[in-house]
This record gives sequence, C-alpha cells and structure tokens, in this order.
Amino acid sequence: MTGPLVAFPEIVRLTLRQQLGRRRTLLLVLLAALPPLLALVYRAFGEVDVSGFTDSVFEPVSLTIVLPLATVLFGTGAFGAENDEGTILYLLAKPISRWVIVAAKAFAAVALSLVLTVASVLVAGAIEVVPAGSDGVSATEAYVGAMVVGSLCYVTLFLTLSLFTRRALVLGIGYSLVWEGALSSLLPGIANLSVRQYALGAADSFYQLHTEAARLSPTTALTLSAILIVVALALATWRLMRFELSGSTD
Amino acid sequence: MSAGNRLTASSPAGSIYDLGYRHYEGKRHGRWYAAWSLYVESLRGVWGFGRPMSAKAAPFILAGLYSFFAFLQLAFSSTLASEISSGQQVQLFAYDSYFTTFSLLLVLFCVAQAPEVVCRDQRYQVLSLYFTRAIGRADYALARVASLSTALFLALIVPMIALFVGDVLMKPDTISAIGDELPKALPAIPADLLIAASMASISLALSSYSPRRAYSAIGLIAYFLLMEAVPAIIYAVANHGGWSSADKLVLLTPITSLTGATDWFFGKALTSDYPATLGPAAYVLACLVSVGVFSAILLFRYRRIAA
Repeated sequence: MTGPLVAFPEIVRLTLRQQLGRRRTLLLVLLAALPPLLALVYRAFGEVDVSGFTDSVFEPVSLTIVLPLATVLFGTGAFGAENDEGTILYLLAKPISRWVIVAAKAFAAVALSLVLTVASVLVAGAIEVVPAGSDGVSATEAYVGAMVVGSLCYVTLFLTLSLFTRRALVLGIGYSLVWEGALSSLLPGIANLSVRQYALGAADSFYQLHTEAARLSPTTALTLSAILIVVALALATWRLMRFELSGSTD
Repeated sequence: MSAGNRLTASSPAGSIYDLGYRHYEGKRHGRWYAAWSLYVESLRGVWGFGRPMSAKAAPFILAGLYSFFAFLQLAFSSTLASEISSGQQVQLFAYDSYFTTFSLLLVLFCVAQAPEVVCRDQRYQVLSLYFTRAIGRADYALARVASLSTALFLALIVPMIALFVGDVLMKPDTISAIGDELPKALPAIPADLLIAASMASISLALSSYSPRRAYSAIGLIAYFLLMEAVPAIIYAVANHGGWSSADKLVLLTPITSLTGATDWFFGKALTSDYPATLGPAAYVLACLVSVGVFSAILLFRYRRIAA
C-alpha cells in the first residue's frame, strides 16, 4: 500500500492492542454479557415476549447503559492511553497526516464498540425474541441498527471530546445521563441534539417502537448522525493539527 | 514534660520522624485525634473548602439543585398559602417523597465526590504517609466514610429544613403550626441518616478500587444504574413466571430500597411499584445490611491495599 493511508492499518493494530489488554475492557465484556444473560432468564421462565423484552432490556439496558459506557470508554481511550503515557508525541512526530491518525483511531474504537454492542444485542435477540417469529427478527434488527448508529456517533463524539478536555470521560457520561436521560424528557427539542434519539430513529425504520421512544424520523436521524460524524472527525483533525502537550493532571 | 512521655527514635510512634537530631517535646494527641482531623479535613474536601473554586462547583451545584425545589416552595410559601386557603389544589413537596423525587441528583453527588475522597491518595501513593502516623488502616477507612456520610446528610437535611420553614409559614398561627409540623418532619432525621450512611458506604467501597477518579466515577454510575435496573427486570419476569421468592431481589437495589426504607420511617404504605409481599421494614433491614456489607468491603480493601 502506498499513499497517505500506508500507516492506517498499523495505527489501527496499535490502538486495538492498547485497548484489549486492559482490565476495563474485560469489565465491558462482562457488561455486554448482561443482555444475553437477561434473555436466558426470560427463557428460563418461559417468556417469549418481543415488546416486553424490547422495552425492559434492549432499551433500558442495551441502549441506555451498555452502549454509552462502551463507547465512552473506547472513544476516550483511543487517544487517552497515548495521552496519559506521553507516547502520542511519537505518533504525531511521524510524517503521517493528522486526518489519517484520527481516521485510524476512530476506526479502531468504532470497531471495538461495534463488536461488543452488536454481539450483545444479536446474542440476546437470538436467545429471546427471534424464536417469536418475524416480529422478533425485526426487533433484533432494529436494535442492531441502533447500536451501529449509536456506536458510530458516540465514539466519534467522545473521541473528539477527549482531544479538547482531560475530563472527557466524566463529561461524556454526564452528557448521556443528564442531557439525553433527564433533560430530554423535559425538553423535547433536545431530540435533535441527542445521539440516543438518532439511534432510536434508525431503529424505528426496522421495527415499530412505541410512540414516545423515537422522536425523529429515520431520515432525519441518519442525516443528523452523518453530519455529527463528519463534523466531529473534522474537529478532531483540526485539534490534532494544533496539538500542544500538557502535563498530566489525572 | 517528663522524660517518660517523650517519643524518641526508640519508641514506636516516633520511629520514622524522630531521627535523633531534634525531638518533639509537645503534646501528642494520639490515634483518635488523628482520625478526627482526617474526618474534618475530608468533610471540608467533599465540599471543596481549602481547594480551588473549580473543586467547589460540582458539590455545590448538585447539592444546590437538590435543595432548589424546597427553597422554591419556601420562597413562594405565602402565595401558596393564599391559593390553598382559596380552595385550590396545590401540588406540594413533602418530607416523605422529596428524596424519592430527586434522588438522581444525590447519586450524581456521590459519583462526583466519592472518587475525590479516596482516589487521589492511591494515585499519588501517599497512603503510606497516613499509615505510618498514629492513624490505622481501619481508622482511615471509617473516617472517610463518616465524612462522606456527614456531607450527604447535610445535603439531605437542608431541603427538609426549608420545607419545614415553608410549611410553618403557610399556616396562620406559627406556634401551633410548629407543633403540627414537627412530628411530620422529625422522621426525616433517621431516614436521612440511613440514606447518607448507605450511599456513602456504597460509593466509597466501590471507588476505592480504582486510583483513577474518572474510572471510579464510571464504575459507580454503572453500579447504580445496573443495580436499579437488573433486579427490577428479573423480578418482573420471575414474578410473571411464578417464582414467588423473586421479590427479595428488589432488596438489592440501592436507591429503590432507600426510598422504601424512607416510607417505613414516615409510616407510609409502599406504592404499587414495590412487590406487595414485602413490607417497608424489609427495606430498612436491607439498607442496614448494605451499610454493613459495603463498610466491610471498604475495610477489607484498606486492610489489603499496598500502602
């Protein structure tokens, strides 16, 4: 391979190795195992209930807890590990375009988060809702779609955030908890600025969610998420071009 | 001071600091005084006193938001009083449901401040400096729990006082109003003590397992969210599927148990969200057990930690 992308696979491999060897990745795998375990509990009690499982596991556990936690850790961890250890200096000193670095880091983080969240939903869906027939298949497809859109948007958003502030982890989880959780039920207009709603909007094109869940139409949701991803990646590249080393303050 | 009281290089308590050049002749206050000082300093630290303004932002904003609605009711108490006397229905905040309504803010308070209390000492590896002093490992852990509990209790009790003052001012006769309101308000004190002790021991026990503040904050959030959601989900399914002892699972939830326990202190019946088979007293017991278990986890952590 030649051209600007020659370093791409190497940075991807590096980032994957940095993330996979950590204790928190193991904890995230345990977290992602939770929806399948709950699906097993449902089956153990002989319940095959598509809308019940969607409303009490996919939405409150997969979408509200697993997806934000996985993406915030992988998204901020992509540059975070290098930043903490100071090795980002060696990466930036290489003659590699900054956008290639951002793209490779984002690719690796998105891939990790996709594998984890999509596998979690697929396994849980296969255990509990797919046996219920076509309705169950489309519910699983809907939440796989939500995980894909959510992973792409959240990871690029948190990756960019981690380049602008050292408190990205706490800000990111505060965003998903306070802004998307508490405030969006009070102020419906927030739906346009909420990744959770983009994901739900995407899910809505596969499976009819109950009316108050998805506030955006699939077209709006996908357009807004595309804009978010492009803007976030552009901002991250711009920030990395003006990168200044700072002292570690936790 | 007599020579017998002097601590020198040969006596255990002075072995590290007294190198034999210059002796400390003053009074030594001992272990309890050291634990008390640690308690006071960490209580100040939770609220950001003695730290920069940025450290005061999170605790004061979150605790302020928690009591904001009670103060709002206090500020408009005269307007509300005239509306009530003209026969209108007014929805007021009550002592027994205030924590239930706004508990998320206190969870965020714990998430923001518990890592402040225990993580930095591990990150900068200064625990050995504490433990070579008169203070022991258990004293350290208990002083930290006590300080976060006190801070939470303050955050909890301030809106109760505001509600009490507001309710008294709404009545025409102040003295008889105090007599009426006091029995209704007093159960808030033991209820808030239990809430504070339970939330503080859970948060510190969990956050003491990571030296990084951000990771322990994430872990705390994950714990509170999951332990609220998962037992409720399993209970709903299992109850439907005919497993009768599934109601015990609800006792594992941190916040729902606390709101159930609050209802016991106020002598209120539980709402229909709770399993009908368990009385409010079960939740009080569950919360007391959780204080014990998480304090034990914290003590265990500090007994084993490499200082």
